[in-house]
Amino acid sequence: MSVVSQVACHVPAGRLSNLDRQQDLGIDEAFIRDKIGVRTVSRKASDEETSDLCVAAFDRLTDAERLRRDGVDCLVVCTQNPDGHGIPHTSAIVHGKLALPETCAAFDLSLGCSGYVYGLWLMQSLMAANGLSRGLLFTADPYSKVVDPNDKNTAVLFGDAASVTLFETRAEPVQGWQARCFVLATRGADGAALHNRQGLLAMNGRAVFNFAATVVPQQVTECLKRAALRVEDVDLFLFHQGSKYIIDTLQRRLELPAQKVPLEVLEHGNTVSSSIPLMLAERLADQKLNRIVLSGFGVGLSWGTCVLERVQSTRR
Amino acid sequence: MAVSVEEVTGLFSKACPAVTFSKGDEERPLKDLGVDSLDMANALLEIQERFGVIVPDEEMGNLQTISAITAYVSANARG
Repeated sequence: MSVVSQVACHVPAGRLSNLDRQQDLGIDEAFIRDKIGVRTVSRKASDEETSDLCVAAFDRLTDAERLRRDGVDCLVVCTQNPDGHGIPHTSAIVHGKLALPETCAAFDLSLGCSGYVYGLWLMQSLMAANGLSRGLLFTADPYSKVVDPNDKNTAVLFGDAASVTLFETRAEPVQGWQARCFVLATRGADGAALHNRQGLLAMNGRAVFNFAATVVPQQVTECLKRAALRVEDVDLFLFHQGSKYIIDTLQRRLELPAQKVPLEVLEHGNTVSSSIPLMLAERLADQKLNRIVLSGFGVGLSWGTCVLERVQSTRR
Repeated sequence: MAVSVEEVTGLFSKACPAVTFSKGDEERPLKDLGVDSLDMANALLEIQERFGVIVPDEEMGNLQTISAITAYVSANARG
């Protein structure tokens, strides 16, 4: 059995203030504070590539040197904003920058805000089916490459960040986390709600809100049912951090206690597929936490929910 | 199907907890009452789920008050 043993993240130092831009964008401070919930959005340097964000996250793993030396069996990068024009794939570029062995399988996963949940499903399945020992799942989707700075729907929301999740299979007992009861869905017919067909991100805010407010509660309820869990059995509900408004809406619609629904967008914004791992990184070591529901939703339209549980693995 | 101003106001109150709706406000532009675009989306979703009426984006320009929205929903809701 493979487990999630570590999550590390990188948020670039650059910031754009929404308060500084409120007049230009025709929004007020109350809207920024109470509805969007994002004071500043994070921005990578102009010469920083998606693969660089991945490497920066990797270097924050406590086992980074050991992994470079010993290698990994597979490496997946979840992104829809790859290096350059996408050829070669960003995961291959990351593989090269990390100087990993040629025996490593590397490929990209094209998903947005649902990407981390899908990525967990993919990596667990891949590692189990092929007897792999170590795998890395990166999320790095710098929307600064495609956001129109004059579009108030998107310019105040999206921030750049990257994460890496280390999956390991060991013979000896190992502490870690494993996801189960995945519920995954797609509604491609409504994909036009969020696209970049003209090279710039375009979002129908109302359509995306309606989608998330209706399907996510249904899917979370279904996931809990499959897992035979009640809300009381779950320590935290980590939703993709689309905005303060959608988090508040989901909490209200699911009637979840506020203390179980973290909101962490204030200083970096919506970091797409990195938003869930950004909240996980510090929390995995918290021994008071044993069961976390993860739910990502967005571009596609695509959404996925699972239960992440603390486990102790004793065998392959 | 007849839908009352009170019912629609109730749904707006649920969707916009920070906004206070008083008698007579049904004729005032919602923007003037403090209802922003996110509140509007939330309220229209509540209306859709209660009455089965979807207000298309292209109608939004004509529906700036609770009275106007009530009339639209009444005309389009199935009994």
